[in-house]
Amino acid sequence: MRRDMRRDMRPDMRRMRRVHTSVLAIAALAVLIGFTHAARADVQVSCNVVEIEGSSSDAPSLDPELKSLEKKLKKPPFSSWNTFKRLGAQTVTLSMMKAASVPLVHGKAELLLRDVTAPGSKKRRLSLGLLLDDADGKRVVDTKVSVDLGDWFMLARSMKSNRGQVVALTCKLL
Amino acid sequence: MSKVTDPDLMMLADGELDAADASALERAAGANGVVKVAAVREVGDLVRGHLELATDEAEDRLAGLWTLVERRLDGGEVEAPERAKSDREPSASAGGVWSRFLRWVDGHRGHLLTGALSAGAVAALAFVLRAEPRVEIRTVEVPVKGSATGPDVGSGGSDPIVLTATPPSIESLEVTGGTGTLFTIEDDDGGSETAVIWVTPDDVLEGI
Repeated sequence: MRRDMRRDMRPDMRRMRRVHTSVLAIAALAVLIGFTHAARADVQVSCNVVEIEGSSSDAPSLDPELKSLEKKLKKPPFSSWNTFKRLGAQTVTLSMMKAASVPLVHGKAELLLRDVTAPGSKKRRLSLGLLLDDADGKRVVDTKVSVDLGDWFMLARSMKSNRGQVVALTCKLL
Repeated sequence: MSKVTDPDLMMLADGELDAADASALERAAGANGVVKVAAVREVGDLVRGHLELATDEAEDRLAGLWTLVERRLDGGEVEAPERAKSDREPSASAGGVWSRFLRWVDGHRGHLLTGALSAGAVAALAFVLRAEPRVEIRTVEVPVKGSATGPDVGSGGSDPIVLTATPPSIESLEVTGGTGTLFTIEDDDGGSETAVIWVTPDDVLEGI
């Protein structure tokens, strides 16, 4: 009789065991996804934002603090100017999907870190949302870009009197 | 019968000839032959007597062997050898582990020899058919400092990991009140390109 009872209970126990295994697997997956998500949420990057004013003058000059960008500024389309002055430089720490505002002399910029990926053997790559407003608060540019960590990205805007504003930024992982 | 030889006389002494030949040979052999036959018979008696004595002496020793053979024939193979051994080697059981080991080796000599020969054959085959040391030549691309695929030293790693650069990409661009133009500036040092979004506002265009 005991054997019969055991035989009757066996399918139920098997079913229960399957349920337990499935629950454990789902829990483990959830924990793994949670950790991954938390790890991605913890990602922070530090971005260096440099505001430059370009113009044409009889006395070409380059701000000594723009030495790292000199080669880029001497090439088209920036070569239409011969004078570059650094208006300001700021370091902004960006967290995932948190917008950061950067006040500029000629307006305002807003940065949003959208994603950081490391595709295989390639450099880590940032996906950024960028907004640029002019001094009157008028939206000039709304863009989403993907750049490698450490690479420069530049936004340039023509202004009256053959002048222009250049916002250059580069980011590194914290 | 013309001539009587010694072998003929020996056959006569041993009784290997039939009666007619034996009487003819005795007549032909004469007195000298009769003496020889008598001498051969006497030597034969002496040898037989010696062998009988030797057999009697060996009987006690062989009695154990016969007992052993009989027991084995009766199915007592296990106890009999041990008893025979203990009879023959009374100190063997008291000889300790070493003597037991030697006895075991002695009893399994065939197996051990087969195993040793097999192992030797396998070793010889392995030695003959061993693989030649393989020389592998690899060409490793070493990135030049500042190249497009510049080294990116990972945190904590001692070896530089070469990571490929990806050109910048613009996923979306929305320009308000002006025209947007996308440029890329090549890096002289072989680094990755720099993306430039150039915006020309409409009011500036009108001024031009």
